[in-house]
Amino acid sequence: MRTLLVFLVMTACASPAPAGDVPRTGGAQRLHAAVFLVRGSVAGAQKGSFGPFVREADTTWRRLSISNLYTFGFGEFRGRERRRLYVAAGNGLHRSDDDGRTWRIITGWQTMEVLGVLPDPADSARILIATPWGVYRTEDDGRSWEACMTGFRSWYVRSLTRDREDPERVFAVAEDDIYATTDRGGSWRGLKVSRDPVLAFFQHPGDPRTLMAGCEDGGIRRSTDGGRTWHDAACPARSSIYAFGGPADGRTLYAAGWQTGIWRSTDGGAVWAQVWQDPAIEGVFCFLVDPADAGHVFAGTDGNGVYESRDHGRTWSFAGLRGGKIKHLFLYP
Amino acid sequence: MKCMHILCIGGLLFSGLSMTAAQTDGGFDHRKTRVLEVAAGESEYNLMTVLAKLRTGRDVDRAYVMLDSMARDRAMGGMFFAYSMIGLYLHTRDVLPESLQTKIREAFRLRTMYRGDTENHWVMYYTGMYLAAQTWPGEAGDRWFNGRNSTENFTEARGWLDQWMQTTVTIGQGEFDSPTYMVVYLCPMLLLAEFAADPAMKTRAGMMVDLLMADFAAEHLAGNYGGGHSRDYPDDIVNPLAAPSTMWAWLYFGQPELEQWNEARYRPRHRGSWETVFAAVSSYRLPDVIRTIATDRAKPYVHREKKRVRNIIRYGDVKNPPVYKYTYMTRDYVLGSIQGGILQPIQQHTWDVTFAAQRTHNTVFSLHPFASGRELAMFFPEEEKFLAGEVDRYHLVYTNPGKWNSSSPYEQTFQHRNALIVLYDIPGNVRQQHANGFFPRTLDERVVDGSGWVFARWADAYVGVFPLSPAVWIDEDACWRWRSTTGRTGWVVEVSSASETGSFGAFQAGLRARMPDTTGFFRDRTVRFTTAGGDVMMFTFNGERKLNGKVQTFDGYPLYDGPWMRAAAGEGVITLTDGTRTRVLDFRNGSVREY
Repeated sequence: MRTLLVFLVMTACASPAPAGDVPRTGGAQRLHAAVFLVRGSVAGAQKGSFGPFVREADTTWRRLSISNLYTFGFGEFRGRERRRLYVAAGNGLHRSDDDGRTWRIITGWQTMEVLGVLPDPADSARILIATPWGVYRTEDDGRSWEACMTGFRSWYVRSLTRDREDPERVFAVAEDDIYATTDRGGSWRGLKVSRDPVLAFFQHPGDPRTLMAGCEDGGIRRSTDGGRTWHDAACPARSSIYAFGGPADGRTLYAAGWQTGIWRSTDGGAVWAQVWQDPAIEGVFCFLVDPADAGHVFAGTDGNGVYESRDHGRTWSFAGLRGGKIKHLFLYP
Repeated sequence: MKCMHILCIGGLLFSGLSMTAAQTDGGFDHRKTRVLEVAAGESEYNLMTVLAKLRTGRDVDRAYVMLDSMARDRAMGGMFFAYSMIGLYLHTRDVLPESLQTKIREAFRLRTMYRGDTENHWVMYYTGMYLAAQTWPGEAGDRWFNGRNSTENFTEARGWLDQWMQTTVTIGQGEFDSPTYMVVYLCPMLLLAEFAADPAMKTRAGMMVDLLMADFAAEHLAGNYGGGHSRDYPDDIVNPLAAPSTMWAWLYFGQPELEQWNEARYRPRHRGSWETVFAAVSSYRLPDVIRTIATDRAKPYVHREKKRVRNIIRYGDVKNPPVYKYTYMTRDYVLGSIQGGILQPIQQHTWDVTFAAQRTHNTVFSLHPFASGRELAMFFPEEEKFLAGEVDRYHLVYTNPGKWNSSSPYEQTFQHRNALIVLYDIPGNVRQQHANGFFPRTLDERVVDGSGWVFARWADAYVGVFPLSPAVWIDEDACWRWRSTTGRTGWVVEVSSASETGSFGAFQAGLRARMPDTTGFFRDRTVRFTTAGGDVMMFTFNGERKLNGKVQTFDGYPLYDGPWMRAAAGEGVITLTDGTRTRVLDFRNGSVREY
């Protein structure tokens, strides 16, 4: 029986986690999963258990919220004095100062669902959130929020990502394009990625100038010049792509979406091939690669919980949260 | 001489206002007692039956057991629970054991009260949080499930409720005129009107109850909620008196003259109807002017309303596009419509004619059973590929080609009084290529006439339908289903009655003499029809609506307009009148005037 529960992670190697204002000195990180819903459940008529979960054993997970919570994603802040875990959820942005034991919602009614969160690694008071009504910003630790939509041509923003190369630059995946800001959300510029709606964004872990975008019925678009120009990647199909992942060296990349199975690229995302498919799994929302083992990959599925592979994606097995729609996989102590 | 009396500015006077305004109860006291008696005898586990038991003193021990179970059940939570639990608590705390009071309080600490993703969810959630925070003031964040202290929760709830009321009274509800979901707007507002300590909130909530009930009343016919609806369930669409709204009509209007729970044919099939318990225990009394609006059908009338599309988060240029409602009411039937297009996802009911009768399936209508992930993605934040399947798993019928509720971008209407033209232009790449029509088997007569008209009679009400394309008739248990697969199709509809037209034969003869001009339909999607009143309607799909040669636009469409209700969009002042009494709901300053 596999018993790997905890990753020992060295300084700043977890790709989704921001760097923090003090270099990490190591520590145990555990796999967290944002379970948006359980298959068959809708708002007002809940079934099953969903919310932010932490993995406790092979297929055993523990929910961090006191009861069901529509959960879209995680974020974190690691500073000299404290660390904070954030959960982007249907009720708003939740913050925990005690590693998930207690929570406080720090957004109000104006923000509706919070689909993504991006804390500023240098200042815990500064946070950007993605919502159906656009990007909101706080610079006073959630006491007040303002909409930051200058430059957007649509409202819906599903996720936010900080540039690995330039921490002042933030990317936002919106309905119609990927937008970038370099002034903490004050203004945004569309990257003109595709004519298709954009669903996902990924920055190559080893080559920050290489960007990728998953599109609705459009496969993968790719830029090798930091987003100035975009081209179609060679994909098995023009599918809807929701998820990317890859280890720190970027030698093997993963992508998946609606009825795609698992795609893999070994040339930096230029050419993709399907390496695995289970017809029972309709979609994959997210990936996470074990920072300590580049061949150990997790996938969050739509309604089939978490799957993991230990052979660079060739074979996969169930890793818990049966029925769960997994929007985000995340490492946090 | 009209004598204006300013009856109330401020909530302290609101209960006095309600008593003054409702001079007669029209049998309300008897009916509310019946609701409480019957609900108190129910074994069904819900907070409304518990409330009825506790308020009537019947089966109290059982009620405590039920309440204890629900208060401890962590699987229960969310917005339905939040508002109904605090509502039950406030109505019964004088008789609740301390232990149960503690458990109810703890529920707001130990469970996530999910805010939801629709307008009714947010009304319930924020009403629940408003009243809970008011009830338990001064408590720290660790006493609440969301980590926010009492003041923060109260302030947030008040902020949302204030803007919702302001939006509703200026540009209309998004989840408008739902025979099911009206219940979960009324109950929260009744609770706020009863228990809000802030006089301004108390008054405005009472005014919202007035408005919601008047909005229903103007389109009410003998217990039925006629015309177009934002959200409706298929069972209620084909059998209108089965909807939860029927029990509210019975309770407040005295129509229909039946107790819904005793009627297998109308027994509510889902939650909602026992929520009338909240009305039965409320001190709110329906103003007489609203009861008259609901029941006086001596003269036919046109009633118009402006509503809004629920929040569009994707694939749209406008957050809340307008919805234009048009309803023609008589004592025998109501014909009503909204303009067509996607005005609400999943459960839209665009138009119908509904008959005044206590028989089942008293309606005729048509639709295009549209379904698409793109439609759902306009309104919900999930990925569109998954949405249709997920909605289908809960609502069961979303992708069913035979479904009886649907919005469609390929359906448009034009109504003038008792005549309606509904057009469909369904592209070849759309999932469902057909349009459906519902003709109930409970009709007294149905004649598929050689002229092309289909005539139907329901007691003294007559319907003529002129299909614009060939179709097949499918015999089903409840109806004859009309189905056309031509893609481009539609109906010309005229409704009348014995008092308007004379005999059914005369009605048929009249329509045979006024055949719709469909010569341009397959060329440029235009239909022309001369009504019984001599008005010429001309309608082009995605084009103009012309009446007697004049283009009809929706510019300046009022929030309410008709003999009973008047309000300009954007002002927040709604005037209700029955010709002798007038009640003005002035949301600008939170006051009610009667004269």
